[in-house]
Amino acid sequence: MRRIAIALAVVSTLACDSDRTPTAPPPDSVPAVGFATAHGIWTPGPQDTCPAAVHDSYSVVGPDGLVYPTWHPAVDPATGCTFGHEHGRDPSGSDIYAQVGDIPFGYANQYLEASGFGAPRHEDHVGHKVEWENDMPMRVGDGGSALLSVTCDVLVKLHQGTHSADAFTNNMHEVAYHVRCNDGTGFSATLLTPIGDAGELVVSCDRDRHISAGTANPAISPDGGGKRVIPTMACVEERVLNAERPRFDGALRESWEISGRIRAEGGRTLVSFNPYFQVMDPSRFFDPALTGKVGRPVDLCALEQLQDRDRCAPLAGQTVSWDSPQSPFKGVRRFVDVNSNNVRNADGPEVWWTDPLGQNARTTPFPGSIRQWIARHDNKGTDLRGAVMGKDRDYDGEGVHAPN
Amino acid sequence: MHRIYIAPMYVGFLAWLLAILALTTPVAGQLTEERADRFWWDAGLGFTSVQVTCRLCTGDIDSGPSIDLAVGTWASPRVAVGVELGGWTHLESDVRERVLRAGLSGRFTPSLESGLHFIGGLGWMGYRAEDFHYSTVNVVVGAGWELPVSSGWSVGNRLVFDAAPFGTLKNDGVSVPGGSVRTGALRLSVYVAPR
Repeated sequence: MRRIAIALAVVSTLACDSDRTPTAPPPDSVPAVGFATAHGIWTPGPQDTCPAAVHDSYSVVGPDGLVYPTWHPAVDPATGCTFGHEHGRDPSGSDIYAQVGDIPFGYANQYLEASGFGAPRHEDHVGHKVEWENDMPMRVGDGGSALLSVTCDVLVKLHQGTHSADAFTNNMHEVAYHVRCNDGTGFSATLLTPIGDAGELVVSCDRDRHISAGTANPAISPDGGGKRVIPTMACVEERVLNAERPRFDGALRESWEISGRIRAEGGRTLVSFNPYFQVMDPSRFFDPALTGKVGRPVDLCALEQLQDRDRCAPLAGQTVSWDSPQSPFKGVRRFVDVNSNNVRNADGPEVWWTDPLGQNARTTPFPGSIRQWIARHDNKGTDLRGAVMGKDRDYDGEGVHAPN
Repeated sequence: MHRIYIAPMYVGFLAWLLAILALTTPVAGQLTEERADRFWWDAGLGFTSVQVTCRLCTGDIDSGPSIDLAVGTWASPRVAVGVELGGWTHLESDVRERVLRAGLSGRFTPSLESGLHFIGGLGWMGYRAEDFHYSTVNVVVGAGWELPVSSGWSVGNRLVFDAAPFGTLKNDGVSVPGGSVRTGALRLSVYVAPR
């Protein structure tokens, strides 16, 4: 068969370099001019051994010159102290890291009001979660994978708090999404993107059911595409309390399904992407019967019928608080379905400025605008769909506990 | 590293074809001038390996069964012309790939004392895998050997190379960036034809 290969190669020509991965210039070094609102908002709790100053040393100067918090490990390697929360995978291992640097947490939130939105939206510190994968084989449309090989590097950060009532009603969450593929697809988008309808959640065990959970903050939050699929007490009853074999993962799994877009003035879509961010072990579920509407899965482990069963088994009947490092529900088992990555920017330019929602993209900065990067490319013909990132990872670590 | 898949049935098939070639000797008077006035046809089954290359292509060599049908007339005792249709299929990761061919075909027999003949042709090749497809000009070159097995029938085999260098891969009608495809296919088949 070697001869067949040689013969076929006669007319098929030697394969040329197939790597057209786009590259964004590394961020300009900007002198620090102040602190972003997101900086310095974390303070240690009674279980955390790191002082705030150590935590705040993990910071990055954003493109605007403000100092933002950024990724750090759960345990400070210099002192060994613990922060009690984690931000997912260390972004420095991503092939895209050299182009984008440390990810500023809260950059889009910072400019919401300045863009004329009319209200602020700030998010807590612990909810920022990073995930990435290098050289991911992509699915190419319907049938294209039989012939084509497209791989992508993807580096994402979503603010996905799964410990409080915030996401029951609030649909605006910051996402930083960076993708580079060998077919020329590439963009770096930072958005405060509305996920699903404001004030409403979708029931995880019955996705046809939408529950009005209250008023969003801010109240003028626009409805977005996608949805926030969140567990409710009904799901807990169905799949844990009343099930012959309790399955916490099946009851509690959250899926935040983004419909992210960068649109030019006039509405033309330059970029669209729709990753699903999934969490298997949130430390809360929606229970309208409770004050604050927040139920705690770990409290169920105190029930005699659930002791030593499924996710409660490691506790061996021990009762722990919802924010104990021993709790099996800390929001550390997460993964991301990458899904579609569409670019329609064949004529450029590569640098666009948008409002924090990704709208009104222009080629020059304007008040409240943030910088986006999009490769000069149109991948309509490839219709790239991504794989899963982080399915086998668990971000639990020393001292990690809810809220995380 | 190209992946080449050869099912055991294909190995046996190839061995059989080689045996035919090895055992076949020149047959005096097999091909006579009578056929100059006759139409001809043949139908073949075979095994085809296809490689598609482009900037984003895997470059894998995929192999699968193929079928060929040809009909034509003898332009002279040594030269046959006709039209040929053929198809090939392969299942790749749950995706069914298909290649169809159609074109003009010519066959030249250097010696009437031998079953050896050379094949050339020009036509069309179309590829499809679900929404992905292309069409292109196809050039055919090859050789075959025909052996009479009865007063009415001959069996032959042929080794043919298809070269289709000018395809543009499309996804549901939209051109794929980096999708200028070149296709090479090696067909090994056995056919039957009336004498």
